[in-house]
Amino acid sequence: MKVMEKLPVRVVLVEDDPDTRQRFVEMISSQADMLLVCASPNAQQALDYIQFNEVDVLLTDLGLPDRSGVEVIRACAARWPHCDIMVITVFGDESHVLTSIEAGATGYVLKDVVAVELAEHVRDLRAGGSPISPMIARQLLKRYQQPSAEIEAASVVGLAAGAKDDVLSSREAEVLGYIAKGFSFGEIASFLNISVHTVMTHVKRIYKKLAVHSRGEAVFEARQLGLLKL
Amino acid sequence: MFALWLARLLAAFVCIFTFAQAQAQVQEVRSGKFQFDDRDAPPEQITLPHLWDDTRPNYTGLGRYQFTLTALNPEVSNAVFIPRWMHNGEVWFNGSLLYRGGRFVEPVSRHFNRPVYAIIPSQLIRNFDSATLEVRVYGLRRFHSGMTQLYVGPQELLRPRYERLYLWNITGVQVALAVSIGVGLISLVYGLAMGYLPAFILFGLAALALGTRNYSLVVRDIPMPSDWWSAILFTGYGIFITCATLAGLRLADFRSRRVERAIWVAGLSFFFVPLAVFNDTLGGVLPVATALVTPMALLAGVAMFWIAAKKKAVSAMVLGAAMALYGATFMYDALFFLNKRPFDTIFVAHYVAIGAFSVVLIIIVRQHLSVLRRARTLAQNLEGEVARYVLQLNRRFDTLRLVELEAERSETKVLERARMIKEMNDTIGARLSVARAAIVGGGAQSDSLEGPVQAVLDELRLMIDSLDPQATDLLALLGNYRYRMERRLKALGLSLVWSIDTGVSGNGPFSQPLESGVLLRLARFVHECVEHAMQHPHYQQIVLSTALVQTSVDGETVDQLTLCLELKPEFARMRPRLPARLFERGNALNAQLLVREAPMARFITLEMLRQPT
Repeated sequence: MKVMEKLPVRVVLVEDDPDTRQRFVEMISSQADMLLVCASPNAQQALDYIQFNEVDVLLTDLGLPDRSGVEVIRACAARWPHCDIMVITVFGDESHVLTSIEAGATGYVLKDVVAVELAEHVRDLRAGGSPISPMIARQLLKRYQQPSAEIEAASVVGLAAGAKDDVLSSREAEVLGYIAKGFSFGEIASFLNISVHTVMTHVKRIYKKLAVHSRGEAVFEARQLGLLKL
Repeated sequence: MFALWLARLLAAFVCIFTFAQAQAQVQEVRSGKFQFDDRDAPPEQITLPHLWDDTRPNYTGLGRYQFTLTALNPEVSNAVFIPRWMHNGEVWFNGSLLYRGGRFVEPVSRHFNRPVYAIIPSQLIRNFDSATLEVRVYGLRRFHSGMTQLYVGPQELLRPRYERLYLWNITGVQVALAVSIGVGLISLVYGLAMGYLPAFILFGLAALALGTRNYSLVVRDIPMPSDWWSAILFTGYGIFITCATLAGLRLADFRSRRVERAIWVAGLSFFFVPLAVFNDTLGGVLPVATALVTPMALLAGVAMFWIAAKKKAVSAMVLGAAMALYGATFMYDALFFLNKRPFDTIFVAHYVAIGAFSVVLIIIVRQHLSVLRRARTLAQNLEGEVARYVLQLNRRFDTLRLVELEAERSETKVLERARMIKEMNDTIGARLSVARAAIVGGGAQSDSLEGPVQAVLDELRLMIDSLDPQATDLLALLGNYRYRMERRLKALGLSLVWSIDTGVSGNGPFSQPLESGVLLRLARFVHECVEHAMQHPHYQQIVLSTALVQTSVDGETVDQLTLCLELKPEFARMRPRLPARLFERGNALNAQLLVREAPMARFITLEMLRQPT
């Protein structure tokens, strides 16, 4: 009987601060199930790598010297849709995180994270868990709470093709509402009589819907950067 | 065909011949004998029409007229036709009563406008070669008393004459007066319905007064004392002139309290005219009074026209002209009472009134409607103007509000800066100083540095969260805190139970968003409680609960937010001392901090009140 060996998770790190980058390199290298394939100090180098190499996890800072980390996220999301992307941030301020989520990221890690925590984050992400903070949930709720008539009107005139698909379902809105009030996935699952896995699926779907807004932009940028040849 | 035409011509000739023969048979009686009923003097010879008020103006009673008629044709139906008598009377033929009009004693109903027509039964004619016709006339003092010439002859000739006169003297006048009253009512109702328009109401009253007054001249069998009747006639005329004049002045927009009062006094003084007229000592004033009173309508109409012309008020001019026209015809009719018009004359003023006042009503209603239209247009324009000004004012208000907000923002910035400096100094600065001192002292181990540095990072995160412009929701802020702390708490063996009231949501617990400073203090209060639990390993569980209720304080309804942290130790006796700054947080939030010790838990409760907006 042939036993399939599990492949390590291919991680690309983009961080301009040498000390932080070094710390992250050490943390990732210490994990047996992860393989750091690229540690880039700027966006361009990372983009060059991403264009030709498949990536499983992208860890990127937002404030890069040559261009915004959001561009790297968009390009990576367009080139490798199954890649999990996490933002490296000092304080996890929500406005920056939200922008990166819109670009295709599915979470963030703090710069003061310890090795164990980072590994846990990455593993959770690969297992399908999408972290979402209450503040982000609240902002998403506000964003999606637009009148349905507006959406219908937009879809009628063809201004928002697929706009209806982007609207949250009532269950997703309910899940988002509980998250915004600080409840954990487990608590939400017990409130709604569903499994934790289903809650996570809802969250993932919400992320996807959010990313729809920037997908066109991502494809455009990826093409501009030469990552996509259509 | 020729035969048919011939027959028609023959029939016409026969008709004309018969008519001429019959015409010849009508006797016009113009002479006879007259005798006062209260005197024994022998009858005197008179000629009709005859009036006795010149000789006996103060006499009220009967006068007897006797006429001798030549033989009447008993083969045809004969009748007596008297165009007018004053005021009531009876017709007797050969001692038989043929007709009675009105009474001879008070209260007297007047029949002086009604032509008299009495059919003579044929049996009364058949037995006599000549006939005696007696007419008893009841006269009223100060008025014309007597009768016109009379006609006797075949009914077929007299009846059309009678009917024609009846039409003009009674039916036509009644219709004209009904129209006048109708015009008055319309004007009155219109004036009241349109929100009390004095000109319309006065004009309506004038037309009503005139119509009612004149109606008493043609109405049949309403018994009324003569003096009352006279009072009604004069007062009605006075009211008519007063109301019409005042209406005209209103239409001409001529306002003078003194003039209006004088007109009312003059108009109502007409009531006293009959008292003077019927006063025996002033017996001779009837012509004077008539001469004074009658032209008033004409004079008032002319004066009104003159004032209205000066004011260029068309409707008042029309009313003045109508009134003057009516006054002139009224004077013309009054010539009858001065014996200047035939005794069987037809009064024309009633017919003038109907036309004149109808035209007046139409004109003033049209003018009023036109004014209403203009007013509506003006109102619309004004509304537009007002809306424009309101818009401008709103814009200015918005601009001012922006300036005000900017000022408020600047003030808030200053206050926030001061607050942040204090917070950073008290917490971040203090902890970094501790860390630095440890490093400088050289004895610092990485473990001893981790605590202060971690605290500084936590503090900075709290500050960033509270400064997030979206972070006005306390639960989201607390939730975020939980989200960040959960792994650390788990690593320390502490469980955080989230028992919050989901009603505390939306834009925070209060209808007005919480300021970032308040949010930070609340979050810091929670953090310090959690930190306290983290520092003491015997705590096993933290339960965070919130509640929002409305309560009454000094009669006012306020929101009450309760934030409670229940710290559950492993052993009941373990009660480490709470940090003193927790109580400072309560004071800074203007909230009440309560600590309650239960056997298996410690409850730290913060109660905050806020007035709902």
